Amino acid sequence: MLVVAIALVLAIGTGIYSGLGSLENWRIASNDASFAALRAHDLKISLAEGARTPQGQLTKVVESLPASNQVAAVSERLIVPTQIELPRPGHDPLVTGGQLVGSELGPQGPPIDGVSAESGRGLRSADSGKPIAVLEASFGTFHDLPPTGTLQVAGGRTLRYVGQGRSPEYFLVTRPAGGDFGGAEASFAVVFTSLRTAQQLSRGSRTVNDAVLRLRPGADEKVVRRQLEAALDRTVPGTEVTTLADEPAHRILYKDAEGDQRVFEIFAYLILAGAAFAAFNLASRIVEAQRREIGIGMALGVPARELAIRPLLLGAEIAVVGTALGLALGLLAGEVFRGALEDLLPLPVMRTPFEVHVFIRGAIAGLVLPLIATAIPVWRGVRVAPIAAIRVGFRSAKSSGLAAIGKRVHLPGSALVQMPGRNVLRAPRRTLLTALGIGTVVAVVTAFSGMVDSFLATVDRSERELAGATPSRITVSLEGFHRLGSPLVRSVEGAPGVRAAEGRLQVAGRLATADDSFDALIGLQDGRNRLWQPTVASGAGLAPGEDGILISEEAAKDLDVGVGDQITVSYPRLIGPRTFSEARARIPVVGLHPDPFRSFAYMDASQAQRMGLAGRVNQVDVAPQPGTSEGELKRTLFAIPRVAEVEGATASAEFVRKRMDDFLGIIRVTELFALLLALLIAFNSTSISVDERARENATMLAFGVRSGEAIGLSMVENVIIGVLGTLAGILIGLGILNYVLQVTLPDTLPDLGVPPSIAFGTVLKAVGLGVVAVALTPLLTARRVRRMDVPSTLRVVE
Amino acid sequence: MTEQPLVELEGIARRYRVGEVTVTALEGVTLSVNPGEFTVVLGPSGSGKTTLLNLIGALDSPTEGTIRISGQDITRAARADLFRFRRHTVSFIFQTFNLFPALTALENAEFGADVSGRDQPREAARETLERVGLADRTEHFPHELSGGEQQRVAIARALATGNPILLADEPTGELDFQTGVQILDLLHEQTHREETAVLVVTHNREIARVAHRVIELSSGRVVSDAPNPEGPVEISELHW
Repeated sequence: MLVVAIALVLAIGTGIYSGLGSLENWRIASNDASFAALRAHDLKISLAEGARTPQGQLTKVVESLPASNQVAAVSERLIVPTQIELPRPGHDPLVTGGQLVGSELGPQGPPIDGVSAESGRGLRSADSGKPIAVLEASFGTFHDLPPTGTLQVAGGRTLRYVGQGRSPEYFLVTRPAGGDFGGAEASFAVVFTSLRTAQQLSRGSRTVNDAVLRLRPGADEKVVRRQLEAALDRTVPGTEVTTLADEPAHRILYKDAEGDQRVFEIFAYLILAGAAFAAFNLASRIVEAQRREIGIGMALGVPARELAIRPLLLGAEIAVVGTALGLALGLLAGEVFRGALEDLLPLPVMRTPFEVHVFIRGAIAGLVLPLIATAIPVWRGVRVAPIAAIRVGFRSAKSSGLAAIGKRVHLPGSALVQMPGRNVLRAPRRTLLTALGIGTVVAVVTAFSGMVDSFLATVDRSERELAGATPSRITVSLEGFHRLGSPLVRSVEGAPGVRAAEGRLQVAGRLATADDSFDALIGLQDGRNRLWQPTVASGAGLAPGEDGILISEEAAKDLDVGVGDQITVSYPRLIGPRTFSEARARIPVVGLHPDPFRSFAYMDASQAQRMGLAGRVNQVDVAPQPGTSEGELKRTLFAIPRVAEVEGATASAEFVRKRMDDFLGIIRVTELFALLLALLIAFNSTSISVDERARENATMLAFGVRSGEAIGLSMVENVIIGVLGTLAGILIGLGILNYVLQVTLPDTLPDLGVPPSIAFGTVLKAVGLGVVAVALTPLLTARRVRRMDVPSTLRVVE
Repeated sequence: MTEQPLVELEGIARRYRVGEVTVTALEGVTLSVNPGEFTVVLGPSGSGKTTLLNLIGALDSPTEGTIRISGQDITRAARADLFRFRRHTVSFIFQTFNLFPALTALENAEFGADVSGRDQPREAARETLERVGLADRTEHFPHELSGGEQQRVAIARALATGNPILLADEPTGELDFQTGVQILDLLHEQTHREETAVLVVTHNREIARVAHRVIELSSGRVVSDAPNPEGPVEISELHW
C-alpha cells in the first residue's frame, strides 16, 4: 500500500511534468497546423489608416515586381472598423465595436487567410456582393451566440451571418493598435464577408486598403518584401508591408507558447522536485526501518550484495509502479491540460499527441530516484558493524538530531507540548525533505496564483487610471479625422443621453531611444478636457502650447529614460486628403503617468499641428446623463453614421482580465494536482511516522494519554513542518513570481508592466494547502492509532 | 498493609483467536493485591505473566471474569473510563524503558506527573529524579544516559504519576546485576514510602526473593500464590 502511495507521489510529479512539459510542443504544432490549414498569408500590404486605393492596383503592383514569379497568389481586401449590433432574444441587443473584413471569395471562401467554419457554414464564391457574412467564432463563443443569425453594422445595414469561423489573423483577437494582449473578443467583433459586400457597406466605391500574398515554396520572402516596399513607396505612399510573423495573433501565439513554457517548465520542474524530495524521503525511511534485518543478515554472513537486493527491489518496485502510474497520470494530465489549452487557444486545428520524449524525461527521474533513495540507506546499512545494526533497545539510540537546540526552550505547558517541536528537530533530514516537498508544491501555488493576483492588481490599477473621475465615460471612435464642430462631432456631442462630451485625437505612433522602441497610442490631450486627464506621477506634466510627451512609468523604464530626457516619437502626418506619411521628432519627456500599459502616451493638443491634424479629432469622450444606461447610450451613438466604435473607457483593461480568465484553466488544473501531491506527501510522511513512533504512541496510550491527544501531537508536528514548508514555499514562490514578471514577462508581454503582488487570498490558499491540509492528514491515520495493540507494540523489541 | 485489597481479580480468563485456533493465555485466575505490597509474578515465557499485567493495567480486557481496582469494576468500563483509570491509578515500567527520545530526563519524568494531573508536575518530576539518583542528569536526553540511568528515568516517570499501582514488566531484563539491584531497591522503597502496590513480572527467581509475595504462573494458571516463605530478603543478598 505504501509502495503504491509513494509511487503515486512520483506519478503525480511525472504526470504533471509531462503534462506541463508538453504544452509548448502542442501549442506550436497546433499553431503550425492551424495557420497552414487556413492558408495564412506570407506578406500583407496595409494602407495607412483611412487611406484606400482602387481595387486591382495593389495586385498590379505585385505583378509588376521582378520577383513576381515567386508569388503564388494575391488577394485584395477591404478592412474597415465598424460597430456591430446583434439582436439577442430575451436580452438587450449586443452593441460592440468591431471590424468588417471584406475578402475576394473563391469556392472555399477567401483564398488567402481563409475562414474556418466552426459552426454553420463558411463563405463561398456565390456569397459575393450579398449581405452574407461569417462571424468570428471567439466573439460568438464569448457571448454564446447562435451559429447563424443577423447582425447590423455601422449605418444600420443588416447582414445575415451564416456561420461562425476563425481566421489566422484573429486566432487570438486583438484590437488594432491595442497591444499584444489578445482576449479582445469580449468587445471586438470581426465580421468576414465578401470584398464587394464590404465595399457596398462602406462607401460603395470599388476600393481596397489591404492585400495578402502567399509565396511559392522556396521563395525568398525578404527579396519579395523589399521589392514590394520599393514599388509601393512609388505608387501608394504610406503603405506598410508586413509578414505573417508580424501579425499580432501569430506573434502572440508563438511567443506565448515559448514564454509561457519557460514559466510552465519552472512549475513542472518544481512539482517534479517536490515529488522527488518526498519519494526520496519516504523510500529511504522505509529502508531505514529494514537496517536491523540487514545487520542480522550480515551477522549471519550473508554477502552485502545479496542483502541489498530486497530493499533495492522495493526501490525498483516503487520505480516501476511510479512510472506506470505516471504514464496513466501523464495521459490524464494531458487530457485535462488539453481541455484547458483548447479554452486558452481556440484554434481550428489542435495537435496534442502524447509527448513521449517529455514523459520519458520525467519517467527517468521517477525510475532513478527511488533506486537512489533505497540504495543510500542500504549502503549505510552494510557499512556498519553487524552488532551495531542488530543492537536493540536503549543501546540502539544514537542521537536526538537537533533536539538539543530546543532543550533550553521549554514551552509553557506539559511535557507533551514539548514533543512535536522536539520531534521535528530530532530528525532534521526527514523534516527538511518533507518540508521541501510541501514547500515546492506551495511555491507552485503561490507563484501561479501570484501571477493572477499581479495581473489583476495591474489591471485594476490601469482601470482606475483610465476611469479617472468619470468611470461611466464612453469613448466614441470616428471613421477618420473630423474637425471639432463638424456635423459628425456635433451629432455625437448632442446625442440624447449625453451629459458632456470632449473631442480627442489619438494616433498610432512609436516611441524610441537608441536602444529600444515600441508601438504607442498617442493621445493629444487638451488641458481643458473636463472628462478625463491622465495622472501625472512624476514631472510637471503637459503644458498648453508646449512641446513634450507624457509617457508611462513602464515605458520610461523600458526606454531607460526619465523626466527631462528626450525620446524619438514617430507619428503619422497628414499629407493628402486621405494619405499619411510617417514623421519623427525628438520630444522631451515632461512627465510619467502610472498606467501599467506602456503603449499609452500623451502630448498636448497643440502638438496636433505637427501631425497636420490641428483642430481635428477622431474620438469623442462622452459622459452619460444620470439615468441613462451605458447600453442605451451605446445604441444611440452607434446609430450615428460614421461612428466606428463605441466602448467603455476602461475597455483595454478588460482584455487583460479576459486573458487571465483563459489562463485560469491551466492554473486550476495545476493547483488541483499540487493539492493532491501535498496531501499525499503529508499522508505518506505521517503514515510512516506512525509506524516509526508506534512505541512512543503505545507508551503514551499506556499512561492514559488519549489516542486523540496522540494524533493531536502528530497534527501539531505536521503544523510545524507545514509552516516551515509553507514559509519556504511562499519565499520560493515569490522568487519565481519575481523572475517570471521581471525577466520572462517583458519578453512575452512587453506592453504591460506587472509588479509582483500577492493577494491575501493567495496567502490563505498557500497556508490552507501547506499548513491546514498537511495538519489534517494525521486524522487519516487515526484509526490505526486507535486500534493499536498497545501491549504487543510495547513488547516488540525493535 | 491494609485489609482492603487494591487489586482484585476473580475468575479471569483471557483467550485469543489466532486463525482457527483459540489460545488460552490465562484461565481461572483469582487473586488480590494490597496497597504497599511488593508482589513478584514468576513464570516461564508464555505462562501469561505479561497478559496478567496488561489486564491489571487496563491495556487489555479479560474474556471472562471481573477485575476490580479499589473496589471499582473496570472489566466492562467504557474506553474513556479506562484512559482515566490508567492516568490516575496505574503506571508502567517497561523492559525496554520506552522513554521519549525527544524529551530530556526531566521532561520524561514530567510526562508521568502531567498525565496523572499532579500539581506542580515539573517539581514532582525533579523530586522523583532526585530520588532515583539522577538529579545531575535532568537535562540529558535518553541516548546520553546509560541503560541503568534510562531505566531509572523510566521509574521516575512511573513514580511521578503518584498512582497507587506500579506495574513493572521485566524491569531488570536489559540491565546488568548491579544496576538491576539498584532498580529493585527503588521499587522496594516505593512500597514502604508511598504504600504503592508494586507488581513485578519476571522469569528471574532471584528477584522473587525480595518480594512480600510470589505468584507463580504456568500455562496461564496460578500454580502458587503465597507470601515469600523465607520473608523478603535484603537486596544486598541477591545474586544472579
